[in-house]
Amino acid sequence: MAGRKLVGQYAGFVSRAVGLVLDYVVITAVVVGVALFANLLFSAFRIDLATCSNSRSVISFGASACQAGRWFLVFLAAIFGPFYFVVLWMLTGQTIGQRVMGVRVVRLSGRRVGFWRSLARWIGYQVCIFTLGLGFLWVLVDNRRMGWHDKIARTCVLYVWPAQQNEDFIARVNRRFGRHKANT
Amino acid sequence: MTDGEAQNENTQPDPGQDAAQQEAGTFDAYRSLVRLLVGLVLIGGDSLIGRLREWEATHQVDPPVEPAAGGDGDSVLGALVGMTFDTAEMIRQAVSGAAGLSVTVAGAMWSAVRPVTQYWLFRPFWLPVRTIAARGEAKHERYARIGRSEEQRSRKLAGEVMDSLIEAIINYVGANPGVEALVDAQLARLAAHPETLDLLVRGAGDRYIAYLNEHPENVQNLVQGQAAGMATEVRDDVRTLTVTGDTFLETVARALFRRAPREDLPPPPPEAQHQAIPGRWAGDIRYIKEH
Repeated sequence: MAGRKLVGQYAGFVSRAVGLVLDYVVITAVVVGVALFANLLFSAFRIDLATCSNSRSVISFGASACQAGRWFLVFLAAIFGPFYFVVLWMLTGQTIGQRVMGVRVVRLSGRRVGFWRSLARWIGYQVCIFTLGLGFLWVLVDNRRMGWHDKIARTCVLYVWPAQQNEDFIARVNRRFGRHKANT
Repeated sequence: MTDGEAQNENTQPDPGQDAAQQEAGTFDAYRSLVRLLVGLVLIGGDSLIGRLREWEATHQVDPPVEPAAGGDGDSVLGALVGMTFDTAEMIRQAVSGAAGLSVTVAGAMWSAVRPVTQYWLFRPFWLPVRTIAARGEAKHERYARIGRSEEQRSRKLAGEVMDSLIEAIINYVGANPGVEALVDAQLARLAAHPETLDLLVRGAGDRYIAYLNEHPENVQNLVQGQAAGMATEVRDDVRTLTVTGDTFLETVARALFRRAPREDLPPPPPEAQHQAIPGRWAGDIRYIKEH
């Protein structure tokens, strides 16, 4: 296995998809962790967070506090995802998953990814999700490996580590699928 | 179940009993293997539970000691451990509650629909339903009967297999001339100079303990370095796999859409590429130091 270094080249679908999955694992872990902590906190006051029944509560305003806690959890679940993506893209150009996978979001103009650009990219994510992932899959066929969210925000995703692919394997794959080109 | 059906059910041949009877005359390797595996699981489960009970009894402190109040870290750790236990208990109670609830709901449902099912219009369905129920009961009884007899046989078989296996290993090791010679030689050497071993162990042990006491950071660094190195290695392996996967999947996708295989990607604009150079961002300071 040998190969040229791909640092600074467009990142492909698999690296980006694995990064996205890792991001959703992180988001889910945070939301579930906060929910468990809230449950622990309320159970200390003998309040069941699931039903908000305060029959055994040791504080008089237990039911109200429980309702507030539930609304907070709903709010957190709704807002944490966009907050996570937008803030991390804005600050470092990388989410945690993208950092693990060694890719970074950059603007085509070379300027930093600001708040509005990050927000536009997150909205692009939603567009891709609502089109059953077609926008994400566009990375596979686009000449600059850009998904719809990249096109909306005018950003691209690049490798930021000296990435090397298994050239022997890729050569075998090319030979296998190169026949199609010869036939057509 | 009617008397006739019960009689009919009782006169049917019992496959479990038949198998046991047949086995008295013939050897069935498959059945013996199943019996051995079941026996091993049963014995293993029993010994695990017994060992857990022993460990719990050994480490039980009576009365429970109230731990000294620690820092914030201890408090958070304690809360996490407590939460784990509390969650496990909650799950157990929830499962138990759900089982009880399902029985109650099923009973209530049955009581509620009974007046309807007892209606004469449903009479034609009574016989098939009862037959199915009777068949289910008979199956359950049969399984219980097989289980009662097979459990003892499985335990006995697994116990015998384990005893004979241990005995065979001991016999092999005992009868092996190489092992025997080695043990004899070591024993003879130690018998001749018992103080040698004593001194060696004590001296080396003291030396290592003293060194570790003086330089604990070396061990810490070693362990941390190993852990970090392994994590980095795994991360790089995963990244290399995904980078290869990027090109592979693209090639497959292009072939599926009957597009020509891509030779090379166009390079990104230099301005964008500049942003991707490690070291451009605060988080890449470590990369600059390393390179």
